[in-house]
Amino acid sequence: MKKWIMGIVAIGLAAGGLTGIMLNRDTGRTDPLRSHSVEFHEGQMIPALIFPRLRDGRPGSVADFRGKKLILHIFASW
Amino acid sequence: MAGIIEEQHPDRARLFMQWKQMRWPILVDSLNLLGTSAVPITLAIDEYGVIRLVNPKHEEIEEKFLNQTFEKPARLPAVEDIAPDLHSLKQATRANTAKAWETYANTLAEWGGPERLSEAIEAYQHTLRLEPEMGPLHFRLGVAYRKRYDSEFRQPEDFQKAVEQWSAALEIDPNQYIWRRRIQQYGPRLDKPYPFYDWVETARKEIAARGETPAPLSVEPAGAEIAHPEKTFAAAATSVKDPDPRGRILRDDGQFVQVETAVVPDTRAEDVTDRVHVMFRPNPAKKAHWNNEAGNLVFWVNPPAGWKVSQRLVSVPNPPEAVSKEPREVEFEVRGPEQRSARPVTLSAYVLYYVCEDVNGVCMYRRQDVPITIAPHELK
Repeated sequence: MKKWIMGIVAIGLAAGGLTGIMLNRDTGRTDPLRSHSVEFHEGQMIPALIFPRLRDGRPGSVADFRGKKLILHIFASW
Repeated sequence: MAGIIEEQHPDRARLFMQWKQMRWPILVDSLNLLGTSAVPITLAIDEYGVIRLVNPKHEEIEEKFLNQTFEKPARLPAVEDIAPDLHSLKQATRANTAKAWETYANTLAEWGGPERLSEAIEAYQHTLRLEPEMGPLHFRLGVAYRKRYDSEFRQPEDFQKAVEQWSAALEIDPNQYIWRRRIQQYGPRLDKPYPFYDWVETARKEIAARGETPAPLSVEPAGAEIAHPEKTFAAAATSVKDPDPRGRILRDDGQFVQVETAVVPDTRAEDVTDRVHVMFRPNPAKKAHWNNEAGNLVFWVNPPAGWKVSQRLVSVPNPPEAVSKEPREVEFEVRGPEQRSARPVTLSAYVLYYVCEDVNGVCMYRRQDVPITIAPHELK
C-alpha cells in the first residue's frame, strides 16, 4: 500500500512537472495588504472548501477523506 | 491520494488524467477558491485534516508521515453540510456585506449552472462595488464571464470582459501566477511560458492506441492555447495584397454574421504585444449558415503607422460539408511602437465571407468592417 502511494505521488509530481512548476516569486511589487494568496503551512487545518468532483460534478470536499491519511496534489493540466 | 485542479475547463483535466492513467479522486477549483498562487503543491494531510508536510520529498513521506501517529487536535472544526444552498445564501445577502455577496456569487458561479451565470456576474459586480480592491473577486468574475462565453447563454463581449477582469485581478496582485497564466493562456506568444494545451493531440493518440475512447472536450483548445512561445515578434510581410482595397464588396454589418473581438494583452509591463481574437458566428435569427462551396472566409488587417501585425491576411479553410454553422475564429498578434500612446488605438480590419440565409434562401458574398480597439498597456 505504501509503495503504491509512493508510486502515485511520483506520477503526480511528474504530472505537475509537465505543466511547469511556477514558483511563487515575490517580485517585491505587490502590496502585502492587497495580496490574498494562500500559503500552506505544517500544522494548519486544510480548508474544507466544497468543489465539484471531476467524475460526476457533485459536491466534494477534502473533508470527505477525514479518518484517513491523505496525499493531496494541487495541480493543473496547462 | 486525491487532487484539486486549478482549471477553467475541467473536461481537459479529465482527458489529462485519462492520458496519464491517474485514477485518484479529483476536485475542480475553477474559481481559485483555495487561493493558491502557484501549482503544483503536494500536501500530506493527517486523518484529522491537519497538514503535516508541504511539498515533501519522496523519501520523507513514509518516515515523516505514513509511519507517524498524529494526535487528534483538541478542537476539530465540524464538517459543514456539503450541499450548496442558494436560497439561504441569497437570503443572507440582505445584510449587504461583501462576504455574504461573495459567498452567494461563488456558489452561483460554481453550482447555479450556465443559466444562472448572469446572476453570478451581477452578484460579483455588487460585491466589487463593496470591495473594489479584492483581486480574487475580479478573477472569479472573469471566470464567470468566460464560463458564460463558453455556454449557450453567451453575451456580446463576454470573452473581452473576462480578460479585463483577470487583468484587473493581476493589477492588484502581480505575484498571482494562476491568474497570470489564465491571461497568458489566451495571450501573445512572446508572453507564453510554454504551450498550454499542445499535449491534447498526443494524449488523444496515445489513449486511442490503448483501445480507449478519449474523454470529450466541450471547448476545443486552439490558437493561443496551443501556440508555442516565441522570443521575437515575426511581423507579416508588407507585400501581401489587400483583397478589397477600394471597399467594393457589399457590407453585411452583422445582419447575417455576428462578429466579436477580444484583445488579450501581454501581462508584462515592458512589452507592447497583444493577441487579438476575432470570432464569427452565423446569425441564428436570420437562420444564416456558411456556404462552404464557395471561397474561404478571409480576414484582412491594416495596422496604423508604426504598428506591426503577425498576419495581415488570414484565410479560414472551409470544412468538407457544403453548408455549416460553426463559429469561426481568427487570431493574430499586434505589436505597437516602443513609445506607445497612452490612448487607445484602432486597427482597421475587415472580413469577407460567403453566407446564405435559410436553407433555400439567398447566398451572398459580403464584407464586414471590424474595427479593433487596442487599449494602452497598464503597468503590472
